[in-house]
Amino acid sequence: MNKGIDNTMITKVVCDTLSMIGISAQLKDEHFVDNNFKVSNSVLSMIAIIGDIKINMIYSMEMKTAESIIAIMMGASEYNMDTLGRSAIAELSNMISGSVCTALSADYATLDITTPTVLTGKTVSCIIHSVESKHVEFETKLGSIGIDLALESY
Amino acid sequence: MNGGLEMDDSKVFQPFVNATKGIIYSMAELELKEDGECYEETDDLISFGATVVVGYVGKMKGRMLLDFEPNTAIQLANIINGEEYASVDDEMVIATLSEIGNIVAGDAITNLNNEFSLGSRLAPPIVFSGDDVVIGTNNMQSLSIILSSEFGRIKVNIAYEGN
Repeated sequence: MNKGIDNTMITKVVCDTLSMIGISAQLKDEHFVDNNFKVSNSVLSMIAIIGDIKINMIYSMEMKTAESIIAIMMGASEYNMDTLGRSAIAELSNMISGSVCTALSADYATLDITTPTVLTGKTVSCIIHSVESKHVEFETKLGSIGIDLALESY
Repeated sequence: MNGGLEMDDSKVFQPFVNATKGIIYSMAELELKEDGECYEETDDLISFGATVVVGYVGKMKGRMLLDFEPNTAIQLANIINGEEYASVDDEMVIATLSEIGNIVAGDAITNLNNEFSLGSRLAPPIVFSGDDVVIGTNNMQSLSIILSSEFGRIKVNIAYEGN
């Protein structure tokens, strides 16, 4: 990937943001792995960073993981996915991507992020055509959170 | 409603509708007719089955969705590529929807940028599919219209917030 988008930065941003809402996470794999950029899961959140570079980010997790995260965010003992729950997942992905955007701003000017689009279903599959793509998996006590990054550089 | 932007919803929405109808006709000679009026979505959306989403940022930030019934998506891909595909999950159907979304969003945003100096920029398109997929609107203004063809329906949805 281009300069400024390194494993250490992404891992730190993700773990710090999840920690802020009370979720401890660690990188499941020791390295990024290539992906055909097809992401399938029950809950997906898509958000893009646009500016001198374009990065599509897709967050993915199982429904029970998402509902557990939402419960923590809402201060509830449990939660069943609904409109408000999808908004909470959107907000989480917005927080993480916003922090990635901030971290990248030292190397890239005029970055902005799109509004997140959250999808839920039995199995939702997303595909992006991209130049480079990386998949990283984070493990939490609530389940795994996947983040796929597709980079389009100029 | 538009966060201070001096334009009404129809001026934001119509370029996307015009682009969808015009570009699909030019690519596939498939006529699309408006099935009713533009309406405001008051809840999350349920996908028809195959959807392309294109995000954009600038003075107006949001996303465009083109939501296809599966048969509509497959038949469009068949016509455009001169092939016969069996599923919306076929790589070429996905590529076709992605390209349609990219061109439609690009055309509409260019028109809006020229008229209102929005300085909007597009994200790469993402295609998704699945059964009974629910699409969150995240408290954004969300407008839709259904376009009908001989092969089925396409929903054009725009969701946005102003700076």
